[in-house]
Amino acid sequence: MNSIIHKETQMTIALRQTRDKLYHNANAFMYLIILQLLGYFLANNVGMSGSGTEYFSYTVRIASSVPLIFFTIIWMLLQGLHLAGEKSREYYLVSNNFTAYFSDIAVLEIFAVTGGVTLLLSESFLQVMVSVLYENVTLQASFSEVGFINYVSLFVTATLYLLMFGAAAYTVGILRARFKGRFFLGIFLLIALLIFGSVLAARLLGPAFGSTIESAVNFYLHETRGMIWFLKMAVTIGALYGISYLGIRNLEVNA
Amino acid sequence: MAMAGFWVILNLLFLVLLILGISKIVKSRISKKISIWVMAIYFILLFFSPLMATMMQGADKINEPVRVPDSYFMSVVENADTMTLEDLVEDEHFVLLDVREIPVALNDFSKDRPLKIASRHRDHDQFDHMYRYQLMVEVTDEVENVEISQFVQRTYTDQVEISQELVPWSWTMTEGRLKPEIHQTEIVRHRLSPNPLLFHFQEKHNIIKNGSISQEMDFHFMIPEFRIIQWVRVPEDLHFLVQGVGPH
Repeated sequence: MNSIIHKETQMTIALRQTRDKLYHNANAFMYLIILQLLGYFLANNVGMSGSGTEYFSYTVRIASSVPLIFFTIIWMLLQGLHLAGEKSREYYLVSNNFTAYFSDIAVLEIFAVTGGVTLLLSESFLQVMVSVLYENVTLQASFSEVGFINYVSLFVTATLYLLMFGAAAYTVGILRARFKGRFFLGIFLLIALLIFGSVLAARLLGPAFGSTIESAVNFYLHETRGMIWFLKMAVTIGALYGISYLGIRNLEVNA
Repeated sequence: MAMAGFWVILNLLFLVLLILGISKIVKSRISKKISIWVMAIYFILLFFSPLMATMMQGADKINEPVRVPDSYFMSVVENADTMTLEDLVEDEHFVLLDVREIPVALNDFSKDRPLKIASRHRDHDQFDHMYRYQLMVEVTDEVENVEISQFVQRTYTDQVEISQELVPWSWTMTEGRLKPEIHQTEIVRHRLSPNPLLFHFQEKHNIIKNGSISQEMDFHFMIPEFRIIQWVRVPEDLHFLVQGVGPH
């Protein structure tokens, strides 16, 4: 047995491990579907507006796929944490930290693409769903401007955002496994540092430099220049991958 | 304020418990084979949905809105003398909502005590600004009772016709006075708003400007104004008086 395995390159083992992990985590897809169904349920009626008088009332109920994005992100976060959990590395007899890391990342990427595809198609699925459920469904005027490029943008942004959240959760999970008790102390210190740093920055450099969650969200979401956005995402995801790899490299080998 | 915060926290807690609960159940109770099958079915559904969506949209487009010219209603009202009921029925800009007959005993009314037809539905009525309403009275030998045909000009919001949904007014006869009663019309529409990520790279649509994704709800819509014609046909021998406008 051992002799056969030693003939294999690390890459082959990693790929095999990826396939194995995918099968092991097949329930994640079921979980995604359930969470997305929950999302569709909420998406049917995200807002309402109406007006009227004594004799006439007119109400518009808005359906939008925004809740779906949130639920898919939650799914991705949980998958990232789960993959980083020590249990996910215990099943494999032949494994080193490289193959474990590679297969985790590959599975995360497959999950992100899956989530991206479902979000891309959810747009028309929601439309079908709303049309079946209700009479008199209209599309918002901006739908007429949606072209092929917009769908590409939806798929790419959704996939990369999902990957970013997945990678972030994975990194947190790995750091927790790496530092155990000290991890929470580190988190606490990090939050304190962030708050202190942003207060200090706001004091010294002016309010524009104060960092809030909102400004962090805007850093990505508000970026309309495609290439710069892509660069930001690539750097962020790369940094998260790097941190998680450094974390996993120092873990004990589970084999 | 504190109450609202409490509810938000309670809802979040519920959501977290729900999500974790689902995760536990899925992991322990559902086999991997079933998961893969369900995923396949879900994907097939998703892949067919664009086709279904286009088909549904195509079906909706059959009803092209009839463009009603500006101030069409006024021109109809002004030319009322030369019009007949049939003209109005055949007019594609109007919808016949309701025809009702109100029995009258001709003997009950005389020159001194005519049938009063109220052109307003209340005596001191500040009329609803959403209605414009015209009463037309035709004296004819074709009817034995008072017959009221109710028309509404075609009205659209969001390209969808709503005039058909107007609840017709009912006319009641009390103490020799015929008067309309307006019922509330409630219209509920559903509107699908596009995924904000579709416009991620478009300055104009960048919804996320205020740091919140769900900003772009775009609630603007025109509150429609209904233009209603009540065509009243009265038998020749009936003495009547239209109130509010003067006798015809």
